[in-house]
Order: sequence, then structure tokens, then C-alpha cells
Amino acid sequence: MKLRSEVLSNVMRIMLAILVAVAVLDLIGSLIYAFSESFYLDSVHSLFSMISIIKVVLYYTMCIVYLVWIFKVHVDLNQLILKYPRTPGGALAAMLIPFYNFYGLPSTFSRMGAQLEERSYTAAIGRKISTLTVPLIILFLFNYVLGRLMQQTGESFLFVLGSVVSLALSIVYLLLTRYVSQGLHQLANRPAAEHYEESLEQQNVLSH
Amino acid sequence: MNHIPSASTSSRRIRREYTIVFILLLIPLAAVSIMLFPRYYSYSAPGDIVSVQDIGVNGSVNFCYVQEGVTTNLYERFAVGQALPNAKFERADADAQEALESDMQLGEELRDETIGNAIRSADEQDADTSPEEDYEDKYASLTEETANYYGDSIGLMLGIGLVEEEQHLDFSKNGKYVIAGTGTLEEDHSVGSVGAIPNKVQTAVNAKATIFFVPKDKENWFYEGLSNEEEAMGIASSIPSVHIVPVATLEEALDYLRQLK
Repeated sequence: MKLRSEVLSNVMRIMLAILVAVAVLDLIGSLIYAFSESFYLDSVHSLFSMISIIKVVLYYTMCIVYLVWIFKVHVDLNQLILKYPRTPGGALAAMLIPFYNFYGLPSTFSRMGAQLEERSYTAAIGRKISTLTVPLIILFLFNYVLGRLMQQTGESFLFVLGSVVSLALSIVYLLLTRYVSQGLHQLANRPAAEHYEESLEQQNVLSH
Repeated sequence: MNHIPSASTSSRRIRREYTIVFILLLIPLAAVSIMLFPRYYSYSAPGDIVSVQDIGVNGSVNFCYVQEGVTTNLYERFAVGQALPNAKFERADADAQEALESDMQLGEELRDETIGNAIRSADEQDADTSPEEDYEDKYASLTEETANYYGDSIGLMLGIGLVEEEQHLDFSKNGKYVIAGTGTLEEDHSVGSVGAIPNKVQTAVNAKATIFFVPKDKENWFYEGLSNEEEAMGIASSIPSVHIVPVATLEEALDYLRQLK
């Protein structure tokens, strides 16, 4: 079966790899600023200003691509798994509704992980996705709180901490994208026997 | 018949993904070009009031500074706007940075001159004048302590602070009044005009000052626009918490402060 999310999964992986590289450069800039503010302002300010702009704009561009991707991933999941517990629209709402997304974001991936764990041929990938849900929500909350604090205080250690959290979050997203993409591929290319057994189970469930 | 993906299908798909990535990467690159394109703005924003005690004078009054500078592109403008939400920006030309640096150099000279005037004027308020060595020591200490401030608007408040120090006075009445102000101090003890009055008054309001001295310069204002006195009095009605007091000389300011209960 051809996956509708395939092209965007590859786009996300390339873009997230670039975002991780930019986040590393941004962290270097924050460290230089923390250790020697005068050197930063005199010598490398222009370079890291450029990196900061790229990082921010890339991040927001990625947010839009991510929303389209998560929608398409759920279209695929709903086609591959009967009665998948979240619709594509529901997945989008879980990401977009303010405050609800603190629950919606991790629950989207934990449900995905749980569904994949139920199948022997995707269990390993499912476990990896479920495991990443915990750092995802912790880093997501940290990133949110640090963003607010940085606007208020502007302390240099907060910039370093913010850069570290932002880098870690990008890595978690990159890994999640990779595992989700792999999981979908394995679901789509599952052995015919497994497919038949699953269909039977689903029929049995329906006939209860 | 099973469809086996051919090399050309695979490469077409790769090309499609890389094309999307390339287009998406154009967005941050375009943003960088726009944000870092040379575009000059000068800005001015309220600063803060600083006690004369912070520069080593045993007085209770405060001088006032504002933040001014030049941004060279939209990114810097955005960063300054984030750091100073009340900053007002005006479009400037490419020479603005050079002009600011030259103003700062001139500002240093004017500051040192007004410090000298403040020391002598304060000393002359007393019958016993201090020896020349005391003047030199005081001048050296104050020029060092005020190295981070540019311009001569510190003069009047420094003069008042030095009078408090020499005559052991406390015009704030133990903190009852928060006294701040702006204005140069000339050799003849007159108070001269300064710039950025609206921001300085706003700074005084933000710092919860109760009395704010401004130069009384309406009668001898020879420049375009409003004098410091007119500008300050124009704002005064909208800020009842601060009492704006125009003064022409150091003695006029001291007389006003001496009659405070």
C-alpha cells in the first residue's frame, strides 16, 4: 500500500536534521555569549544573529509542515489499523488547541506507540515511540516555560539552557519522525499472513 | 502483474522531496535577507533614575538617563524592541552610527565640563570654599564614576547632590520625596537645556519620582520646536503623580527644595 505520508515523512526527516544542525550552531552561539558577552557582541554577533533568524523561521516552517505530516500519518494509520483511536482531524486538534495540546501532543504519540506495540512485527518500533513520549512532553513544557522566562529576564544561562532544550527537542522530533515512518512502512508491508489474521480478529470483534 | 519501483521512479521521488525541502529552506533564507538587509533606525527609550549615591555623592537626589542608539537592520530593531518595549524608532541614514559615536564623544566632553561646574557651583553655595586639591580629587572620582553615562544632563542634579553632601542636608526628608531631574549646569550656575524630555519625564514616572526638575528655558529657547519647559509642562497635566518644577538656576532649585515640609 502506498503511504500518503511518505513524501512528507522524508521531507520532515531532512528538515529536522537541518534544524538539529542549526540548533547545535545556536547552542555554540549561546555558550560564547555566556562565557564572553563582549567577544560575542564584537566578533560573532552578526553570524549568530543570522543563525538565530534561520532557527526561528525554520522552526515555525517546520510547525506547519509537521501539522500536515501528522494529519497524513493519521490518514495512513486509520487506513492501516481498523478503529484507530484518533482521527486525522482529532490529531490536528490535539496539536492546535491551546493548553489541551500539553496532553494532546504526548497522547498522540503514546497511542501510536501502544497500537504498534500490539503487533509483533511493529512492537519494537512501538516501544521506541512510547519511550520517547516522556522526554517529548518534558522538553515541550521546558521549552515553553524557558521561552517565557527568556522574554522577561534575558539571563545568559537561560539562553544556554533554552538552546540545549531546543536542541534536545529537535532530536526527539527527528527520532519520532523516523520511528513513525518506519512503523508505517512495516504496517503497510506486513506479511500477508499477519494481515489475514488481523482481518479475522477484526471480523471476530465485529461479530461479538 | 506486480509493480516493481524502477530507478527512475525512485529518483523522481527523491527529487520531489528535495525540491520541497529546497523550497522550504528558501523561507528562512529569505527571512535572513530581509532581517539583515542594512536599514538604519535611531531609537530612544525611557531609562531609569540613578541616585547620586551610586556615583559616590552623599546626597538623596537622583539623576535621570534615557537609552538612545542606532540599529542597523530589522533584526537589531526587533531585538531592541523586545528589550525596550517603549522604544521609539525613527528612520535614519547610513551615517547614523557614525553620528551617534561622534555625539557620544562630544557627550563625554560635555559631561566632564558639567561635572566641573557642579563641583564649583556647589562649593560656592557655602562661605568656606574648598581647596583646589579637593576639587581635583572630586572631579577625578566623579568623571570615573559617571564613565558609563554620556551627555551633560547630569549637571543640575549632581550640583544639588553635592550641596546636600557639603551642607549635610537631606532634601528627600528621609525618603518622603523621590527627587529627580535633568538639566546641564553652567559656570554661572544657570540650568541649560537638554534633549529627550518626554522620555526623561516618562522615566521619572516609571521610577515613581514625586518631584522632577527641568530647565526653565521657555524665554531663551532659540531652536526649532518646543523648549524643555514647554515640552515638560505639556506632559505634566497627564501625570499628576510627578510635580514638574522648571528652574533657571541651581539656587532656584535649592530654594524650592529648602521650603519642602
